[in-house]
Amino acid sequence: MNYRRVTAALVAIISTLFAALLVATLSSLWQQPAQSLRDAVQAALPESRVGNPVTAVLLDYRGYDTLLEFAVLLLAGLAAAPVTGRAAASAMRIPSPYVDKSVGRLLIAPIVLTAASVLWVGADAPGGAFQAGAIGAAAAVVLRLSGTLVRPLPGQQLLSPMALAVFLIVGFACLAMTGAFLGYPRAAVRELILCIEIAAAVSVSMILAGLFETLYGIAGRRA
Amino acid sequence: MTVGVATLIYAGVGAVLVVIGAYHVIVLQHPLRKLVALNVFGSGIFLILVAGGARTPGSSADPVPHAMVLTGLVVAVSATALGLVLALRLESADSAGERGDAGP
Repeated sequence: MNYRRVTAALVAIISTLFAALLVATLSSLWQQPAQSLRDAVQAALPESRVGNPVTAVLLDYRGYDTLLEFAVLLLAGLAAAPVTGRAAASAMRIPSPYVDKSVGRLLIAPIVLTAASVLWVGADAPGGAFQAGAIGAAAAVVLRLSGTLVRPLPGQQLLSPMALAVFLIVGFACLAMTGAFLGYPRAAVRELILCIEIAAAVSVSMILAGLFETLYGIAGRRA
Repeated sequence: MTVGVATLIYAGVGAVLVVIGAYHVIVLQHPLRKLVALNVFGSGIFLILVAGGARTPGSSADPVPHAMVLTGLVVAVSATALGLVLALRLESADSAGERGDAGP
């Protein structure tokens, strides 16, 4: 009796049942009239003084979820951390044979500028902290692969927790000012959101770049 | 084709991806393939979320599912990276003979 095949058959049966359940749920959901929070968000948007509803949802209305998400990201970065640093830096193949060194060096500044502009524009147009963080991580990866940076990423230990720290500080400051954790005083809400977003973009870039370097270092050591 | 039917098709594709990803996460043996299946599973869920947010009549969509998908994307990327670190560590431990069981 092949254990693996029996397991696969059982999982296939359960998956079919799960598929049927999903289809039934979704079709019944879709037959009901659409209930959306779009109008509620649009109505509350002037109060948060940002133009982008997604940014307002992420950092104002659901700010607590985003705070917890920064904690999750930091945990993932920390779990990969023991391999980063000097050990990983020596094991990575720098410069990578697939990235031309001079082209890489030229690319870094435009990528960073794109990240900064996506971050700034994200207050009123599509964009924001997470997108800017991902683009910033790309800049760090190009920095590493083109051989421009040879030593470990500077300030990684300090900058990775910065998003969580800034978010917590702002939250407790709001608690002191308005009596509600993360209850922004409405006169300064846009500026506070931008502060948190800047810290978030930097931290997300650092964490994602650190994860890449861990993997590249492990792979480099085994190659 | 009404908006409702179009978004239902998107949600249906998302459901298909969810089921395919869930089945293969359990059944596949190699950790890297499991991670890819997990990503497919996540992409299916994001599709369902975004399709649900697009159901509102009118031009603009519900921004709350969009925000959820944004955070979910970044968390999925870092979870995949963490899974890759663990898979590589598992493989190096396996080749060094550290594992106690006689697993695959």
